[in-house]
Amino acid sequence: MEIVEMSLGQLRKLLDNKEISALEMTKGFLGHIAQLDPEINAFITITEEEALFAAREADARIAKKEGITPLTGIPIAIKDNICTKGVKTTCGSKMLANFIPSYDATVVTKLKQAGAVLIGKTNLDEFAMGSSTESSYFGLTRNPWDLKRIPGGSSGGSAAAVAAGMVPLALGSDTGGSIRQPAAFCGIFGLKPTYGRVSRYGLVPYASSLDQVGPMARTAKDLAVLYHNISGYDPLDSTTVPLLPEKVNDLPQGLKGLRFGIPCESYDKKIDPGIKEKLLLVADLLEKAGCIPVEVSLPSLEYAAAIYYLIAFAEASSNLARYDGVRYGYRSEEQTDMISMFRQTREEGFGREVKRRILLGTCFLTPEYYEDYYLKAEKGRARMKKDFARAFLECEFMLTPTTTVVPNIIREKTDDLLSKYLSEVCTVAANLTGIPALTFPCGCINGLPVGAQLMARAGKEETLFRVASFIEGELGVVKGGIR
Amino acid sequence: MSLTKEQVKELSSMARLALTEEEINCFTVQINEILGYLKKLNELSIEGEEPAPYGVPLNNIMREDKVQSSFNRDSVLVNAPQQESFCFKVLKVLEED
Amino acid sequence: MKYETIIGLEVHVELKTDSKLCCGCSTKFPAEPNTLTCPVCLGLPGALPVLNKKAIDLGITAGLALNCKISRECKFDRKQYFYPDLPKGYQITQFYAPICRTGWLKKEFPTGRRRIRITRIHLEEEAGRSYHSGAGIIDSDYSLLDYNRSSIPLIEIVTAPDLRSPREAKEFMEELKIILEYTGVSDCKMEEGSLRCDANISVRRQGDRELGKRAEVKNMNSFRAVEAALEYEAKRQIELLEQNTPLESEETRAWDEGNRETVFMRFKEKAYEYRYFPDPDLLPVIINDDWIKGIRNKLPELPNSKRERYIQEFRLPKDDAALISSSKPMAEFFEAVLKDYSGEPKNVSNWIIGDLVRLINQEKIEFHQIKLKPEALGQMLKILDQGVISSKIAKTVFEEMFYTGNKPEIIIKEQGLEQISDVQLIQEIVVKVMADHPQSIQDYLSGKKKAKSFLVGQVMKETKGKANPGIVNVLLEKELEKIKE
Ligand SMILES: [Mg+2]
Ligand SMILES: [Zn+2]
Repeated sequence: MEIVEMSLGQLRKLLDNKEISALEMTKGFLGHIAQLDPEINAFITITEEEALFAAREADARIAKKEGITPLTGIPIAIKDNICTKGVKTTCGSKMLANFIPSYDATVVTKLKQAGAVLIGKTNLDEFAMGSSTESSYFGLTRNPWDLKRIPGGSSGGSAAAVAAGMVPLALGSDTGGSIRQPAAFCGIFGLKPTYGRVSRYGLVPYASSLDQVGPMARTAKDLAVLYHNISGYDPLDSTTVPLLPEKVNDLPQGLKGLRFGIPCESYDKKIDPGIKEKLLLVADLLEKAGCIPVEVSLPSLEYAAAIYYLIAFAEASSNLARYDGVRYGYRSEEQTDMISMFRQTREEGFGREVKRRILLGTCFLTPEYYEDYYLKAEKGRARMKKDFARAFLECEFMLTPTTTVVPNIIREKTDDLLSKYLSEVCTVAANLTGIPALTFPCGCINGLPVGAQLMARAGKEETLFRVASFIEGELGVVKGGIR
Repeated sequence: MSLTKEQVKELSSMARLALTEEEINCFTVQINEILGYLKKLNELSIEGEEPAPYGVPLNNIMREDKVQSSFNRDSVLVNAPQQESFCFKVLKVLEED
Repeated sequence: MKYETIIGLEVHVELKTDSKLCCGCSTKFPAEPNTLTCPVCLGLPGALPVLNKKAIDLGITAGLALNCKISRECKFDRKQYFYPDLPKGYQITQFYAPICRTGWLKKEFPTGRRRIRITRIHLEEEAGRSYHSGAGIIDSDYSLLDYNRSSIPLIEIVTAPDLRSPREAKEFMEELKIILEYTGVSDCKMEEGSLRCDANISVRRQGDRELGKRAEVKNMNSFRAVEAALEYEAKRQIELLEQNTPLESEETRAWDEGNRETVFMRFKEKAYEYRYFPDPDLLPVIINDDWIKGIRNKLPELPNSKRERYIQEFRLPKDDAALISSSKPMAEFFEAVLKDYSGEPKNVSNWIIGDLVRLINQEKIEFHQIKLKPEALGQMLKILDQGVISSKIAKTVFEEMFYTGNKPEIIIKEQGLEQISDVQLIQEIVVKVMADHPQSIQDYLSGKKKAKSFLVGQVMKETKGKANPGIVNVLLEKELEKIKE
């Protein structure tokens, strides 16, 4: 087997047994990227020099048998809205095309401390606003399963890179499904952690109360390992939960007695019949393993998309106000005074989708709309939290589709705004309620991967890893993306 | 509620976006489409709900009043589009309208 | 026609913390531009604010000192507007749930004692500073931005429109400054901008119930400027009213110190342009009884009540009481002297208000920097009362104590400054002086009374001022009488 197909555990064994050095391994992945990425365009920046340096450091650690973690010497890709010291962090936008942070995001600091090898920054929808990775200033990313198709988004670059074997692991960010939807479209695992379990310090915000950084990988175990290495309290992020990082478990396989719910509302929608079939197959497997199906209902789920747009766009309009051309980033040449500088800089620096969301968010926060729209959404979110809390009295986890469709053809649906937004229905609920949600591959339809989503109570990532790992064992690994 | 082109223009000026005429036309249609969809929220009963604008139910997260070292000034100014005398430089202010 | 002026103030006060509101950068002033900044206070992408607890403590302190209700839930909102000195495109402030509401400050005005209501106090962060290339904002070609001040904690104190004249506004500000300094909330240095105020001012015909359209006046950099600017603006508005062209819409004006006039800046922004909403990065702060009680217990006696106590307990004249209580270190010094000294409190206030304040001003230092110890002043006053030194010598001793911090008894001993009351010794000197100045004796005998003062002066000179002047007088008179006979 080639290293590009290997799991973290297999790569670890090679490194620890000195069958391959971290330097060789990194060069191997860099070679694979050089070969594939011109076509796929998963990366905005490849940090070859830094990666080789980090690989040598990892080799030194391994030689001394000091400070070796599961990630020491392992190449990893970072979504380009996560700040990396000395390395361009563009958010896929002209606005930040030349922005070089002088600080690392906390998750990056943690990965560096663990000895991971940061190999590059991955493509995304501009400022993580989108679900197709078509809106990046640096061009679109293609789905390694079918180059005519989108990889999903906004973490499409990370998903494509992992699926194609360009890296074993990647970080994404998820505000309404931006890790899970591309992971499903690319046939890999992805986790949106419990809000507050992973630091947002250094993650360029889209919607602060919904954003989380999360892991993407080709196995459930790899996903868990990466999650455990990036999670934990951070004094630099007031919204992280002051708990010790969870310890890595050996993911016990026994699921006997666990109750799982399939919320009826998540089925009723215009769901692709093929996807529904896969979901029922998974439910069967769970039942055979001793899990108990229970009926749950989430009446507010229907409104999740509406609540999500209101909150996310309102917060985005505020979070993106700082891009004014004064201190960093793009500055328009078309300026006669300060105000025209602001207006032109923002007009030229932002893409269409970003401007659309800023306008909508600005509208929601004006007094005419604040009460009836924004505030109503915040109350709706409170209602959703109650719905979920009630449902989780009945079950330990829930199973839903990740997406209601398979990845579409590039540039196919860009003008049908609402249907584009509405495809996020199944994922946004987890962001709105702050609970963890994991997507795992559960088969293919016409050669395209399908994902299903697991959700659990806040802080119960372990349950998700256990269930996902079990199903992975039953279904086997889907590898159609490896090229 | 639906928005006129004029109102979209006003929003764009609030958001400091010098939109083109084409963008204003296009966004006016799209914004109204989305505002229309959002009316759906009126069906959801939110009786007795308190707004929950935070991602996590925690309170009183504070730090002690301790000075920490600031950033090196070179790294502060490294991304400045224009600078002078260790300051960020911008064109003069002109009052709007 | 009589007119009434109605004024409400919005006072911005920089809190006395070591680090900023949302990051660990230092608040020290002055500093080289952009050396006290970090990703948080520069608003760099991905940086997040973390609240400084001391700022909340000081917000509560200010609220208690101004008799406010302290909110149990204190939350932060974003106020959105674009300006180059505002790095995030929004200011972290409190709109929906400010830390304090509905308080008051009692103040003795020339027209009587009144309560000025405080509507609210909210916490917020300071913006950066811009330096303009030209003389003012408008005629500059470009601006330079320094973010050292960005995110320094502020409180904004908003009063009800309860002030009725520019003078009252000024006096209210002075009183507020004393209270905030007393309670350690702020240094209140107007010249450094750590205390600033904007005023909303309108006029109406006496007896009218409806308030006129108001103007907000900004850029008043001293107490005197507050009074002058508001006097100008009130006069301007009254003239408009008399010409039947009152203000039509609310406007913002700036005080031009050079030309002594208020200038139009802009019509007031519509409120919705700020688009306030809760900041999701900063979680609510729940303030419980224990927290408030802890701060209340540490609250010092406030100037108002000190003033009254000085009048009642120490029988100080009103002016002395007001002056001494106006500065916390001065009041503390005064009270400390009285711990050792059981004489007349007025003696103590005389020395403080007189020689001490003069020397402090002369040396351009702050009260808390003085070397003089209160025990030393108490001791000196005791010695003075006992007649060991004369009050003239006391001035010398006091200056010496002020500059060296030494104890009075040591100064008196080392410099031999004790008063000479030894009758025999003085008698000898009197005789010697008379022998040395026969002409003066002739003058005295021929009726020139002045000659006697000259002789007294000579005796004092011989004794370097230490002779007890009473005894000198008596003895000299006796000797002169002898000669007469
Ligand atoms: Mg304010
Ligand atoms: Zn700072």
